[in-house]
Amino acid sequence: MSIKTSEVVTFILEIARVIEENKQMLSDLDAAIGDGDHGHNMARGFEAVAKKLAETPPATVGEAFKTSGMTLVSNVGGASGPLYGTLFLRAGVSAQNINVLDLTGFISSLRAGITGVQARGKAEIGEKTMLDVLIPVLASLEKDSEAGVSCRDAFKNAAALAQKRAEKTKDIVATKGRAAYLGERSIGHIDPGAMSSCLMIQTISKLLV
Amino acid sequence: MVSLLLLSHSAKVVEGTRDVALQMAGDAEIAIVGGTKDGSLGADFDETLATLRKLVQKGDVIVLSDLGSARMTGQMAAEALDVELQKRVHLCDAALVEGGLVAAIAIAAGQDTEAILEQLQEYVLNKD
Repeated sequence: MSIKTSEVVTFILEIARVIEENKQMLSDLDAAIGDGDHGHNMARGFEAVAKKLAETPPATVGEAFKTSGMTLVSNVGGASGPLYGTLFLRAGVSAQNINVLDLTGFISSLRAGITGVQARGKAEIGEKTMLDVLIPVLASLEKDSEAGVSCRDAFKNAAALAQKRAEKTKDIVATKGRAAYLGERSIGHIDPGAMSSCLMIQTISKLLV
Repeated sequence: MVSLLLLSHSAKVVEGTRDVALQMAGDAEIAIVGGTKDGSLGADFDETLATLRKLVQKGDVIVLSDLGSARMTGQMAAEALDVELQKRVHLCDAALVEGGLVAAIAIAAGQDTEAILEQLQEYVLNKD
């Protein structure tokens, strides 16, 4: 896997399209345990990201991530703004001067992003959040990368795991964010943030085929 | 001079909170940011940062917020300032309404930042 900056932009634009396509589903998940705006907030944020990336094409992968992160922070409105914004911003710092992203680089960026999200949201795995998808995905990519699995297969594995882990958030009692106010009543519902993270990983996997 | 910045998802929440605080502390400088650019519920990072930038020019700022995204947006806005100016920003997890009132009264009485933050400790909630 070696993805040029312009291709990274294509990936982000495709994520924007997938989020737009699934915004009602994401908001419906959020309506069950939150304030019901996750999909629409994310769609608004990624629409702004797509516009920004088209207006000022980034010179490096790091810039593509950072521009995306900053635009999400400014346009989302809900908690996913600071959280996904931080994910992309930290990933951007990690990929600062990189022009071509490989699997190792992606893993470093994702790791940096996750560390940022954890610091921002004070969450760990098992709290019914996006981290319940992202942390296992990172571990899976790391393991496959070390084992010399091809990038395409590594993402295929990651995408399947993402789906499983997103669905598994049904069984978790929320202890973070708006859903935490529901306590036990949050059981039985998929976390919308976990699902939007799952969609992003699946989108990357599909584009790599 | 110490000023107070109130952040919420809802413009009405911070407007109301400021009204309550000003009733007892008319001299306090209280800035508010609530709701998104299009007037719906949510946090507005750009507005939060612009307001914070203006306030820190004049001195210390105590920032109170209500829920998740308003609070995280406040944190990110503070981190976006120059390091020297960041030192003037004091993010506090006190309950918005009670904390806002207590802080406003203390500000109007001319108390310093440390003394105000100490009084706010009693109203701190676990917002993580």
